[in-house]
Amino acid sequence: MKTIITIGKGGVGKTTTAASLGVLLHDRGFSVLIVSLDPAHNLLDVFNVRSSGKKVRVSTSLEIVEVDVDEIVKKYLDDVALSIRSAFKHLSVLNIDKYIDTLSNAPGVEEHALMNEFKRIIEENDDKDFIIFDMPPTGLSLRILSLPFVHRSWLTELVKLRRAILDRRRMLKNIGEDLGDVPYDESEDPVMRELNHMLDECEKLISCLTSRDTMCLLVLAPETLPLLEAVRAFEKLKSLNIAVRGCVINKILKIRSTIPELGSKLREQEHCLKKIRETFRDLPTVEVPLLEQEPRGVDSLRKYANYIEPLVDSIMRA
Amino acid sequence: MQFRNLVKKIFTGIAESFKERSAELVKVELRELENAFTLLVVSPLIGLPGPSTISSLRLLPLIERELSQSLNVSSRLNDMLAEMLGYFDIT
Repeated sequence: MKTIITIGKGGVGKTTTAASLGVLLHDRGFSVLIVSLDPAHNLLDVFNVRSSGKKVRVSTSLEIVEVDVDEIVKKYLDDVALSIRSAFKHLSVLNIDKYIDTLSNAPGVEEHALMNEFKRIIEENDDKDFIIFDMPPTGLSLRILSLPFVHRSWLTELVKLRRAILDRRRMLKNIGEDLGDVPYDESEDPVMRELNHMLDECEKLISCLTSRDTMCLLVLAPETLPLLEAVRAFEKLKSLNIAVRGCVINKILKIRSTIPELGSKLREQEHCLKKIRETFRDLPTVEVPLLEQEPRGVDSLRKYANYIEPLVDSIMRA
Repeated sequence: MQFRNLVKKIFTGIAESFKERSAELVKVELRELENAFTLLVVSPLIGLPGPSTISSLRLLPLIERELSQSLNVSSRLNDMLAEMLGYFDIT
């Protein structure tokens, strides 16, 4: 099973790229699941279908789903609330639900819930040949993808500190101090067990993200800001060891006649195209012109897919 | 023989005293390590930078004892001098 992640600035065509790539791979006989993790998603619109947050079967081996971000955040917090309630049974008189609701606005919860969903989707769909993730705009995507790495560093430090605590407790135990029921052994310490459990979850995610079967595709328009964002994303992904296997330059203006009003726009485009080709020269890159109409529906996506077909060979080789 | 017993008692007493002193120091260090651990775990819940509120919530039920100990210390933080003197048993 291979995982493909489309990354880029909002509005550059990540969803269209993910959808047409899915159609292309499906046409080549692979089973494909396309998942939109973008809170402002329009994957279903691109396929011209409607659904209530459930998986939609476009054909026998092509399924699409838009993840309801609010719903997964709520579900995630419900699970946390359940574990807190079971641990603090004596506090059950307090109404903890209000506090948990407040947490849905806490920094990091959305990213955490999305990463958890990412993991769950990969685990539950390992029968698919390809899972394509249409990600939120670059900033949020990078925060989601770097979360397990940041988390691992934090947990590693906590494990070190906990080990120092358990060492001191063991010292006291060895000289005959009465510790009561306070644990001094790693295997008996519930905190250490939970830390190791969380660390294992992180390691699994990191090995999934950095494996050869996971790859990112950069999608950008030939404009200055999408280019700058793509460069930053590329550097960040490289630092995280997440492979970037291709680049889609989308929405290239191809005008035969001269339109004075578009003169500076075309000059900017030329400059950006030159810069993109130079910056991503080691990446397989495809160029897609600005189409007369946004591709909608499978047939329309097949036309768009013709432009990105060379990337599939690079993906297959990976 | 009596002299030998006396010397033995003296050395045993010294060893016991060192042991007690060392145990006290280890206890102080342990308590501070536990406080640091608790502070790091609850940091995202009290407005300090921390990577994950969810991880804190997962650990929170397991550090009940350490948390109440830290709260006790924090209630005495206004009198840091007394706290430090207390650590080293200076009355």
